[in-house]
Amino acid sequence: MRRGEILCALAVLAWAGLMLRESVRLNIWWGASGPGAGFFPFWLSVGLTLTVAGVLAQALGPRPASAKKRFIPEGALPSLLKVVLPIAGMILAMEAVGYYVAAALYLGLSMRWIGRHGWPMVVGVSLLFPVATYVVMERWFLISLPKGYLGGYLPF
Amino acid sequence: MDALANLLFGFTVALTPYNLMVAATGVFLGIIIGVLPGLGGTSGVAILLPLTIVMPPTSGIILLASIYWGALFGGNITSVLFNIPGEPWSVATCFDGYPMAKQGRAGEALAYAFIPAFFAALVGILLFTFFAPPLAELALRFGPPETFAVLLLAFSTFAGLGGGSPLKTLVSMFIGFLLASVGLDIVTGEPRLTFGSINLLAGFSFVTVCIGLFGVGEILLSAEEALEFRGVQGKVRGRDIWTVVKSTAQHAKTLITGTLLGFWVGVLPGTGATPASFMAYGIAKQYSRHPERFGTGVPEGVMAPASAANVAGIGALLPLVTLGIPGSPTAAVMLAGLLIWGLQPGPLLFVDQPDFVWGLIASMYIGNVMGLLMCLLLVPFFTAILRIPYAILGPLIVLLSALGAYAVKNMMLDVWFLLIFGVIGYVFKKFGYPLAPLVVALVLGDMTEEALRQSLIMSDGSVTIFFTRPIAAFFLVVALILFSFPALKLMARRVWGALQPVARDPDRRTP
Repeated sequence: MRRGEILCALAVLAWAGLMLRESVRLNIWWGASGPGAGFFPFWLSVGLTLTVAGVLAQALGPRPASAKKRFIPEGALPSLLKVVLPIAGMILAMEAVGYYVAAALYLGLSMRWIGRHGWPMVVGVSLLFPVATYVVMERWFLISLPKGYLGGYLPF
Repeated sequence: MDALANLLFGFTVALTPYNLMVAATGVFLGIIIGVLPGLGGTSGVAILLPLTIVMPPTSGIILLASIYWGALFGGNITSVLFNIPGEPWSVATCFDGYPMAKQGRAGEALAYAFIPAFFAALVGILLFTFFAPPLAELALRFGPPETFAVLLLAFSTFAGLGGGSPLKTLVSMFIGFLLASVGLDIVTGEPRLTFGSINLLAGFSFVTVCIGLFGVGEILLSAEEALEFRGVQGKVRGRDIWTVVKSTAQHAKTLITGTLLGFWVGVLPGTGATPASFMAYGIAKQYSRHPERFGTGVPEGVMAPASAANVAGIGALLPLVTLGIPGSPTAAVMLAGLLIWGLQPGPLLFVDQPDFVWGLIASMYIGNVMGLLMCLLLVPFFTAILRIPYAILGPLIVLLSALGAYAVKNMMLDVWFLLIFGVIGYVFKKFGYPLAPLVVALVLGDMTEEALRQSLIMSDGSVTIFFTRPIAAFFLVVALILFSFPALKLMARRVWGALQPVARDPDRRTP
């Protein structure tokens, strides 16, 4: 947990440095219309750098009792990955084949692979959800969802 | 009375069939969101926010507010019957609600949560109805320096009263502000912090960040622990309602303190229903004649947190419509809604959009009556939802989140940000960085920067402008005191410790 805490603070520190570098490329003082575009981001990055350095110093200091706790509890990593990877896969699929097909695949796979549900249930839910979403979004609210490369081929 | 006439006008807006249907849908969805432990009220409101793009703003805000009321009520059901909090603000309801339910008094425990919560909310709405107009009138006279001072005050409450590590609170807040400043500069129109990306020109979408941090983050957190719902069956019978109503006089003190405390905590920008419920429980226990019986199923232990949470939700909307500052993270999502519908949050709403403000206020009365009725009648139905297996529910929440993230700006990049912010939310929660300051800073970032820069333009770059204007100076001084509060507390403890060597005894140290 302690190592994780330090790594997390370092990551935020690195991001703060990046923001600092980007903001000094703008006008951080007085411009034609008052304070320049970089004025606010500059002082924010300075503030973030200072506060996160404080967090880092605290993490490097004496070990608190909670330091022994693991960042991810023992044995929880597989179930965590079983959630994260399908989400990433679903978004990738959404880019390629659009929301509706990706949703059906993602629901079906999760239910079959993680939930171990029977096929009728799997097929039922993973078809029903995209159809319901289609009716509500595209027909009712007139919001078009991504179709990916299938754009021209889909019947709807 | 001006307020009464306006309220009547508000009811003519809120009682149209369409808005009534919207309110009922909102409360119903809200209770479901409240009952489900993996889905919080804040992310629930954020996920459903994109659906309101197609509605008139008044119906949109009624929908979001009704979801909030529903979630405030619904969280108690899971807490009382399953000992698993459906919402962060119903954690404290578990302490006495579940023991009571296990003794076979489940219906009574639920009634002790719902009925006091309803009456507290009612008092809160009455306070709201009569306090909001004068407050808005005062706020109408604010210039940029006053606005900036009030915003600073809002953020200082996070640092001063938020609890947790004050440094991490500040880190969260700065990250939120920095994310808000990505995109086109509001004054000069220059692109900034975009790394040359066209997609980042529009900035980070608040809804995406919010759904990611709260919604996806919560799903990742709950993936670690396999939740099992082994609870008590229960429904509210007429007899239970009568028991609760009969005991009102006996518990008047708990009810009144819970209600007033909850309203006040709700109004404070840095806090919301969650701290309100814990504080009300703590106070009820401290001033009880039998504090040792708390935790075994005493009625006060259920009614205090439940009533404080509900009224805090009402209070959280008071600074939102009068000052444009959200009183809780969920109210911050509604503020994002206002911006999406093209409304200028703040006191001008009372002048320019009276149907919006008074329609919202009237719908609070309606929504809370609906919430109470649905909760009293439909407990068995709502608990049945918990039997939906997680392998279906989790992916459904993810899919709805992806839908919401995409629909705000019709951009695939936002869906990726959803996952990224989900992971960030998971990591931050684990390391104790509070998420609420980040979210509120993100949504108020532009407003804060604009107020600061306009003030500096007014004064030709001198910061004395904040101290020479009395209202601004007052808010600023209070804000500075609150910001230094954690440091002052630390110093006071050191001095105290030096004066009293006994207090250093580790056995006597209180956590």
